[in-house]
Parts: sequence; C-alpha cells; structure tokens
Amino acid sequence: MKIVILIPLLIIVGIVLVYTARHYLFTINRLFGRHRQPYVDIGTATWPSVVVFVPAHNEERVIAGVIEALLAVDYPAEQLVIMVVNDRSTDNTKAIVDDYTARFPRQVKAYHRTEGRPGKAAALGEACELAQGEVHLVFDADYLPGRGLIKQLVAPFFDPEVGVVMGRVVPLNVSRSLLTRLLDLERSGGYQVDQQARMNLGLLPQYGGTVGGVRRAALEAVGGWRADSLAEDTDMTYRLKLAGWEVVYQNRSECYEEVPENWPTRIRQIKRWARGHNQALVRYAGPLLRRPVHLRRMVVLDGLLLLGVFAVGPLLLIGWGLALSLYYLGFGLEESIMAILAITAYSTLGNFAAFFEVATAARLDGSRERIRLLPFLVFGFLVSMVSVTTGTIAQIVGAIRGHDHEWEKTERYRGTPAEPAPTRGAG
Amino acid sequence: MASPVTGKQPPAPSLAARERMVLNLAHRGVRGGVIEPHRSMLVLPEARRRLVTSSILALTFLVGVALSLGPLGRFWLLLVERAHESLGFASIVDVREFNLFGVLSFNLPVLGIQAAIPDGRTLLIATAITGAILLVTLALRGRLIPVAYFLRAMVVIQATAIFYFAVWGAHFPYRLPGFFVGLLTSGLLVIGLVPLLLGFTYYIYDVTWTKKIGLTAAILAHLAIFIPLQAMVIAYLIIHLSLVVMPVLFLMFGLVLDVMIFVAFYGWGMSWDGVLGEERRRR
Repeated sequence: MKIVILIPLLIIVGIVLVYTARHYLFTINRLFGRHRQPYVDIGTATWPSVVVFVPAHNEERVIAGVIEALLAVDYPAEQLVIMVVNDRSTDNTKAIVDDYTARFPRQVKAYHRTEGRPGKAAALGEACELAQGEVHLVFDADYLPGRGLIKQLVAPFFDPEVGVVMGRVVPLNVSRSLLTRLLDLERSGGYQVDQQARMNLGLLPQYGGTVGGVRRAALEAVGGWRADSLAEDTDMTYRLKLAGWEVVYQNRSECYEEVPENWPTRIRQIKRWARGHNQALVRYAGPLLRRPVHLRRMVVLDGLLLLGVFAVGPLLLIGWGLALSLYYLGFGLEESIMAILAITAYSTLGNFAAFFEVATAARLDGSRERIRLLPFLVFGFLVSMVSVTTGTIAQIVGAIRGHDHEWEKTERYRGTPAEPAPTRGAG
Repeated sequence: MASPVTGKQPPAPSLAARERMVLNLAHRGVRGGVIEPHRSMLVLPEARRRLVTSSILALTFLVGVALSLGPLGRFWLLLVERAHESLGFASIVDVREFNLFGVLSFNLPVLGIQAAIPDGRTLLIATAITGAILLVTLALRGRLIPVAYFLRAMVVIQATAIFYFAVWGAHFPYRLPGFFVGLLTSGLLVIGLVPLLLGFTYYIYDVTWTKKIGLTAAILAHLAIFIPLQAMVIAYLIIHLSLVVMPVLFLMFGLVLDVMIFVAFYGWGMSWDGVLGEERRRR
C-alpha cells in the first residue's frame, strides 16, 4: 500500500523540484546573466503603422485614462490609430468613447460590439478584421502607457523574425491593501526575473495579452485570434512560436495597471487564468512534444513547464493528500530519516525558490521594505492553489457536461464613474 | 601629482580602485549627479567571485553547525528539562544518541511520557470544535479570506485525524516520545539547511559580510531556542488533548512554521541596503 502512494508522491515531488530548479536558474540568470533587450533604445526610425486595440467591457471608470495616455505618446501621430473595442458595454463606456471619436476622428476609432461570442479573443478577432496597420498592439482599459512606450514596444518588430512583443506590467494601486502589495511582489517576480530570464536564455517569454502586440503578418499567418480561446495571450504565444516566430520580452517597457484589491476578485481572476492556461496546455502540449525542427529542446521544455504552471496547484494538493496518507500509514518521522529529509526538502527548497525569485525581483525594483511581507505570500499561494484547483475541476466538469465557459470581467477601482467630457481639447 | 608639502608621489591606485573610479565617472551626469541605471538593467557584478565566496561562507557555517551539534543537544536538553518542570509533566527526560554519517555523535532529549489515544467522547468534542471552526470560516469574508483558507486546511487535516482515530485508533503509528524526537531531528535538518539556503540566495548579494554573518547567526540562534520550545508546546497540547491533534500540529505548526520563520528572517535580510546601493548614494 505504502509503495502505491509513495511512487506518485515521488513523481509529484520530482515535478516540483524541476520547477524549483527552474526558479533558481532564472533568478541566478537575472542577477548575473547578459541581458537581451533588443532595439529598446531606438528613438528615430521609419516607424511602421500601428493600431492600438483597447478592449473594453463596462470600463467607464478607466477608459478615458487609457485613451488620454495613448493620445499623449510620442509615436508619430500619422502612423498611430487607437481602436477602442467596446464589447457589449452596458454602462457609460460607449458615450465616453464616442466623445473621443468625435473629437479625434483620425486618431481614435471605435468598434462597438452588441452581439456575438463574449470575451476578449472574440472581440479582438472581429476588430482586427476592420483594422489596418503593420503592428497590432493591445492595452487593457485599466492601463496607463507612458509617453515612450509605444516606440519601445514597436522597436523589436524591426527584426523580421519577431512575431510578438511583450512589455512589463507594474501595479498602480500597490498601497491599497495587503493583497495589492502581495500582487506587486508576485508581478515583480514574474516579470523582472522570470520573463527577463527566459528572454535572456532564448527560451519562451510569454505574451500577456496587454502591454504588447503582434505583427499583423504573423497574426494572419497563424489564422488570427481564436475566438474560442479562454486565454488569447497564451494561445497566441504558442501558435506563433510553433509557427517559427520569435517572442520578445522588453523588461524596460513598463506600463501601469490596476491589480485586484480584494480577494474575491483575485480568486475569480486566478480561476479564469487557470482555465485559459489549461486549455492551452491541452491544445499545445502535443505539438510542442513533437518538436518542430526550429525549436531547441530547452525551448520545448520551457514551453511545457510554462504550459503546466497552473497544473502545479492541483498537483501540490494531490501531493499533500498523498503525504497525509503516508503519514497515517506510518511512513517517516520515527522510522525513516530519509522521509524526514524528503519532507524537509519538499517544504523548504521546493517552496523557497519562489521566495528567492520574488525577493530578488523586489530588491532589483528597489522595493526593499516590501520584501518584509515575504512570509505573507504563503497566504497568497494557498488561495491561488485552492482557486486554481477548484477552477480546474469546474472546467473539467463543465467540459464533460458540455457547458460553455462564462466570461468574467475583472473589477476596476480607479475613481468614480467618469464623465463623458474628458479634459483634452480637440487636436 | 606630488604633494606640495612632502614632495612625495601618492601611491598609485590599485587596478580595482581605478576600475571603480572609471565606473564612477561613467555614471556621472554633466552636472556631477549620478545617473542610476534603470531597474530593468540592474545586475550584480563579479558573478564568479560572489559564487565562490558565497560557497565558502556557506560551507564554513555548515561545518560550524555540524561541530555545534553536541553543545546544541546539551542546550536543548537543558531547555527541555526546564520547560518540563514548568509545564508539570509527570515523567522523566531521557536522552537518545544520534550519529551523523558515523563521524559526529550527539544526544537529543526524549520525553518519557505517553499521550492518550482519543476515546469516543474526545472524538465527539473534537468533531464539534472542528465543525465550529468550519462554520466560522464560512463567515470570514473580504480581507479575511486567506485566514479562512488556512483554517479550512486545518479543518481538513483535523477531520482526517478524527476519521482515522474513529476507525483505526489503536493502529496510529506514532507515539509522543518518538514524535518529539522526530520534531527535534527535523528541526535540526532545517538548521542545517539554513547556511546552504542562504549561501545560494543571500550571500551572493552585495550586502556586507557583517550583515551576512549577522543574519545567519540571528536565524540559527532563533531556531536553536525556538525548536525545542515549539516541540514542548506541541507535546503539552498533545498530552492534554490526546493524539487526535498530533497530525494537525505536526503538519501545520511543525516544520512549516520553522520554514516560515526562516522566510521572515530572509525577507528582513533582503530588505537591508547593499554595498552597491550605499556607494551609489555616496556618489
């Protein structure tokens, strides 16, 4: 009986240790490695035409902010179009957007969706068919791009092999609650260390669906946005990589966003991400394992580990369940020093790699005092692990019953509902 | 340039000092201010030297910990005896000899007291309390959701313990004396891991040697005092509440708590300014 439980437990511990080694390797690379930030400093060039898509569903609180910020960027105005994709909003979003399109008819366009499949992927898919532009960038409605950001994100596309570019996301509302501070730490680890290390090592940085974009030719080559995708960003990353396009991460191209300020919103967000990631895992694990000739083995391994990142939560829970069973069966503690060693290694080295990564990132960011919140990340990990697991179970049950996924929007917090009369005068 | 007073040439700066001066000048703006590199481009210089010195410091501490096992065992025996008296345990404190790789031997204290296997009444009370905690978690909302999740994890483990003792009670494979020693040995393993973990995750940073040594000493000292007291508190609770609480205490307040203490210290140490940061400010 013990061996039946021990073998799967050891497999899970093995998988966790692979992720642990990955965290250590990435963090050491970020600290000591040679950095790749291609073309980020180009200031003068023949800039390609760009369409910036802003998907918006009931975004009256924030939509004016992102349009204002995009109107203020230093990208040549004649080469830039802002297209707000108003996806079935029932609040004041349409009025605000229409006001901008009336005042800036050349720069701001609107695509109002009133029907069709819900979700960002479907909305982007329809809007892209109406847009020109060599490069399609995407910003979520709660983002505030800086003046030079568009140039930084477009510059890597001067390399004809680059199909998709991703910038760094930085939380804006950090000081609102413990959760926002913890999310800042997590985001910091994810971008400052994880994404940059994957970029440095020539692995697979992930396009995150915002603060980034795709080359239109690449998008068309892989058949455009998939309307049935639950995580259009992960989906696009893998389709482009499998098709031979390069993915670039620009750590210096920072953009502010709102992170969830309360736990229920965070739980919904995590569940949505888990469902999308799991869908991508099912779709692209096979093609990756067949390894197209242009992909190195390490890229395939990294791609698989990235796809499986949301499967680790359920695996960990299963692992703890198995460990508990072994405990009741009398394995370890009094009998075997090796069992104690394994448990110790599992609960220290395994988990500690993530702390190391986050602390390193926060230190590089100069948020040194925030690192003292490190122990509280355990609560975040616990909530994430349970949320990912319940989200995954719901997804599997839904798939068996044939239920379609219901799209959930992330709550916004900035200010009060905006008035449809923004500050900028007609240009 | 020769000194106008003594007429002597000042000693030529070392190569390292000259490199630092050039680096210093390279970061100067036209008005003399310091041009900070963007955070996306910050790296730690001298990787090889850092990794070598970190490994040496980690190994030194590891050897120090190994050589301290004997005195540490005696210290723990002293602490356990004192706590044993204060808590009024009706038993004796014994010692058990351990041998590390056949080279180092040391003794650890053992409690000579048994805890009761829970009877039906105890299990009913435990079930009622566990159910009550579960109900409380349902009322915890908003910012208390993580606390609710933590309590539910406790409830799940406690529920498995109640079920186990209700069905197979007498077959429970652990008894208090062995469990107590198990807690101490796993604590020793955490102590042994401290220099190794810090070696790869803290010593590599540009903090001063004093801070590196100070943080390590603080963690080791804290754990050296905390672990036997933690084991005594857990033993006290098990003696008074029966073996039914042993799983939850071991899994949630044993090793995990020790590791979180380490993480808290690590976070504190990582928040200290480094040499590079201090140098930048001086410039």
